[in-house]
Amino acid sequence: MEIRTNPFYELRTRLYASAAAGCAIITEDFRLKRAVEAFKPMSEANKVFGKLYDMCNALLASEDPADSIIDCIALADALAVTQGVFADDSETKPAPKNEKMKPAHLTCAKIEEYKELIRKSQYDKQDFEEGFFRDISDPRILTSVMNAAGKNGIGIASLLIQIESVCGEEIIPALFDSIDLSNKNATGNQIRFISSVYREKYNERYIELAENEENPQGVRCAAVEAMIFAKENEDRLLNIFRVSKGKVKQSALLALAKMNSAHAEPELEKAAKNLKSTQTELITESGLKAAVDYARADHEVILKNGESSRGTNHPFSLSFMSELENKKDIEDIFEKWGEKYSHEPITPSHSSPVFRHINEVLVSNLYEHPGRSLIIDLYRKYPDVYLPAAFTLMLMTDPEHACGTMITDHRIYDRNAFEELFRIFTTPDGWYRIRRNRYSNESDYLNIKLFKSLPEDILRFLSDTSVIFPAADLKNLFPNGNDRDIAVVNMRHRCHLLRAFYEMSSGDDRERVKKHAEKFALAMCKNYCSDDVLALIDKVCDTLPEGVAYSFIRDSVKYSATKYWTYTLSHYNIPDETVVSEGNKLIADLSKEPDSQKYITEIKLMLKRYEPQ
Amino acid sequence: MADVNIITEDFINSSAINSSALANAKKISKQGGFKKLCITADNTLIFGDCYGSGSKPYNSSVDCSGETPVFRCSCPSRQIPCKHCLALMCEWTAKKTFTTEEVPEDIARKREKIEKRAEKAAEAAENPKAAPKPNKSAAAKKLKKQREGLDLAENFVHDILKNGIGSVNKAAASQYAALAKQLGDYYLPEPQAIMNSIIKAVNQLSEQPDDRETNNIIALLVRLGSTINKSRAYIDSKLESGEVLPEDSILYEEMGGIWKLTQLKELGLYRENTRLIELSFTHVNDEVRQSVTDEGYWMDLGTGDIFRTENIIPYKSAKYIKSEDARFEVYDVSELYLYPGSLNRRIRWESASSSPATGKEYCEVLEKAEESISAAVKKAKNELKNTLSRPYAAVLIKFDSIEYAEDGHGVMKCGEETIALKECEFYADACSTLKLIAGNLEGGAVFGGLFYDAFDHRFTFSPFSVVTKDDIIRL
Repeated sequence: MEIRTNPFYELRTRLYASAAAGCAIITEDFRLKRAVEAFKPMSEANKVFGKLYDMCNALLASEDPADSIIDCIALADALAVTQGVFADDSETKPAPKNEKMKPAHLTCAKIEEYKELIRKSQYDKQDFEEGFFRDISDPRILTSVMNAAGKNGIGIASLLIQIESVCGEEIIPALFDSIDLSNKNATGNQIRFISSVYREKYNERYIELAENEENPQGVRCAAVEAMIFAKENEDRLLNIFRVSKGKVKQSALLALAKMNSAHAEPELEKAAKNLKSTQTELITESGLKAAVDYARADHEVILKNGESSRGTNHPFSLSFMSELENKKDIEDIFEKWGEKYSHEPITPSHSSPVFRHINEVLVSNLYEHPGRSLIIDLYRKYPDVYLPAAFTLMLMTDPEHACGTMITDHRIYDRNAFEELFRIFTTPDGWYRIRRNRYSNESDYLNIKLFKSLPEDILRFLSDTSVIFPAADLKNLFPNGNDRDIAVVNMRHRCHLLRAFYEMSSGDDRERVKKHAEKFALAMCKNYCSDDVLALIDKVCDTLPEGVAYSFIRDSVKYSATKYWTYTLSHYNIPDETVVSEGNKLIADLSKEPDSQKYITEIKLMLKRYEPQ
Repeated sequence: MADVNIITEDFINSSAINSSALANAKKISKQGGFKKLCITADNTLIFGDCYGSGSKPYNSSVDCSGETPVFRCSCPSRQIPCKHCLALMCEWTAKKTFTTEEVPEDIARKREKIEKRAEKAAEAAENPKAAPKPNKSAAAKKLKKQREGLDLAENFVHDILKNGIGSVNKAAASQYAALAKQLGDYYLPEPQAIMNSIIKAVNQLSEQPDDRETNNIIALLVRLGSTINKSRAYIDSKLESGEVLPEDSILYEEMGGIWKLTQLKELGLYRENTRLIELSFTHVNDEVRQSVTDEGYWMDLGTGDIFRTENIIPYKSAKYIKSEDARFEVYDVSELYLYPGSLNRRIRWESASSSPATGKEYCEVLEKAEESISAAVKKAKNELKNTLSRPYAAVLIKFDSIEYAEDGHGVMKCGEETIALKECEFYADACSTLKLIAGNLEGGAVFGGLFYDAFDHRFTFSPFSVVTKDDIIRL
């Protein structure tokens, strides 16, 4: 027999309410009395209900109700548990299959360790170990990645790229699920990542998330940004632009501008007439006529009268080259810049930001637009000016020869090559990729797969010992301070990059990097032994090269190759006795040189740290 | 006699007191923190000098000459092994160069002392002393003291119930907190903890009034009231009968008593030759009791009973007590001690041998799962209707599929029956984790907690792990 349980639950609620309000004057609690009376019919149907009814009546007449109410609630609770139901009649759908998920036998300590890494990743670039990517297929680890996926930070952005390379498209449903629509501050970064990899594939979800006005603003903006990948979204975006306010409205306009939609043209024209510094993205992201005209007109002025002629309040006063991004039919401006710079001497100390920025624009365009022929044409006409962009293009098209062809004969461009090589990273799927930015960030996940095995050409370039100059000769060889700095950077950055490639590579590649790096480190050790060299030796040399402490102390003390060198020396794996013996040998050698007393004093002070306590 | 070759990465992971010690050790090793790395010729000892924050380097060593490795370090840390010893072992597993040297004098002296102590212990084992008789008068004295303490606690419950939760202002709350502290003198740690929970909840409530929270406070008051009433009756009967020693009752623990294995054995609360497999494991943080509990659920492969292990670590000593962790093997336990209780009784054992779990064991676990949700709920109802029960009943239920509703919540289906899946605080993110693998599961059983939600008048199921014929997937 089914029992109508409402009066029972009402009674239980009243008991709780009486207890919460205080039962000192429970005899006057008419609501409880009414609930007890309403419960009477039920109490006749069941013995235990009957007992509760009797106890409640006794409670209403009790002089010490506190004790009685405990018993009444305890019994009501026990009855409530026995009356509890469990069926869930919600309409359901099966969960999607996810073959990549491989639950592992991980201890809680290991999981905590990973979670801590993931939690911190938003603040710092994390060095995730190999095991992490093996265990990432464990759903518990992936869940905590998903929990962090919407946060800002270069770490988590980089991690998403790594994880997608392992799990592939199967993590996408989970990534969508990880968008916390109840959090008004949700960023929607997950959508930015998904759309950067899968473009229009999840267009329906983007639309759903963008059009629902209940969704957090950040999520809507990210979804609107993602809608640009499907041409048929133009009308929807226009509608969002018309009916929305604030950031969503701005995002919709920017999206239309990015799509080069005619709907955005009037707004863009209006904006271009009196451009504010908050609207610069409309010009940089769009290839519409108004944006092209704006960029062309501004560059004509700069080419003719110089940058300063526009005044310091100009919205593009700092980065006018970015005006040329994402635009077609603007080769003439690039040619004019090529013409201008081909008449200026390109020297190693050339520090003009314009020269660097114009190449950056061309490289940036490579990631989203088919701009390769433009670079090739420009390079053919103005090789000295457009070599950096051509080098990046060649890294993508012919990595086996990029450095050899483009750089060896043009040593002045080493710095540009380093800039590009620093963007290379590896993913657990074995690919070396190149990012548009030096670091991944949550607004730009774009990267291009380059190769699966590190080209010998790059290693040859990095381990080229002809760029090494003795610390003692630097001043004579490069009397100009700028030139000297560049020579030092060329040596030091090679150490950085060799170490970075050693750390990111594996298997055969790692052995090859080791071989090249060891050769370079040994040559550096003899000539210019700085902290970067010690760091490289620590990674790639099996045994400590002879005289490393001697060279390091000498180059630090005499030629300031390393600041805080005593600290550096104590933190690399150089045995104390080696430091002491080579330090003493250096003192002996220096004592034969004139004006070396201050160096000797400094070294002696350092050696005191190594005396037995 | 073992040697340093027992030091492997697994060994280091299992020796570390906590993950931060291990992470710090790895950092030291990675940064080349050791000035000197040595090994003895007989391969029983590694030692080295590690630079730390002190002016002199710390002398760390790992001595494997005895039955169990001994970790020594001159650093001021009370953790054993400290991060320096862990780092020294990391250096060993990283195959760094260790120079061969003699055993340092101080370590040789300590080794001698250990040998002497072992000899004494062996002598004592040959001539065992008779087990001390339980002190009945002390037990009776303790019971009387507890009885007094219960009166104090009762005043607290009655005060609040009489005057209402609203009457607990700041002044009253601090008075009650003092009273709760006083309960510590009456050997009533558990009622004390419930009192503290109530005071904390009332303080929070005054900031953000909430019906659900109010009801939780009342439920806690009822629980404390019931504990007082039942405990008082228990103590009175004990004092009257003169049988003052603990008996097979959950009240002993509910008042805060701590069982000794010998007491459990005397009461016959033990099983012989039991095969156990862990179904789930988690760390439960309890701010009120200021402790973390390592809680594991185990299945007796013979009977299908589901037990739990608890290793309670107070915050104060968390740095020095090694916490337990998930275990994946099958354990053969010669003597398994059971605490009083009904469903999910607490268990302990002193020694066991382990072997890797295979498909055979997983199938055995599956066979013992509840065939229907209703059968499991029936068990849970029997357990949860007791006022003194734990907040949920841990059960293993077979399922056909796990599907998801429009709002994203999971629904477990078993035949015609369905039950909603709900996240629980003890296994954070378990539902999200299950969602990632639910589509791959072709039947099996979900192990988890059946909770009764008094607001919705229904049971929900919080998954802790999934058992398939090939594995136990922890969530």
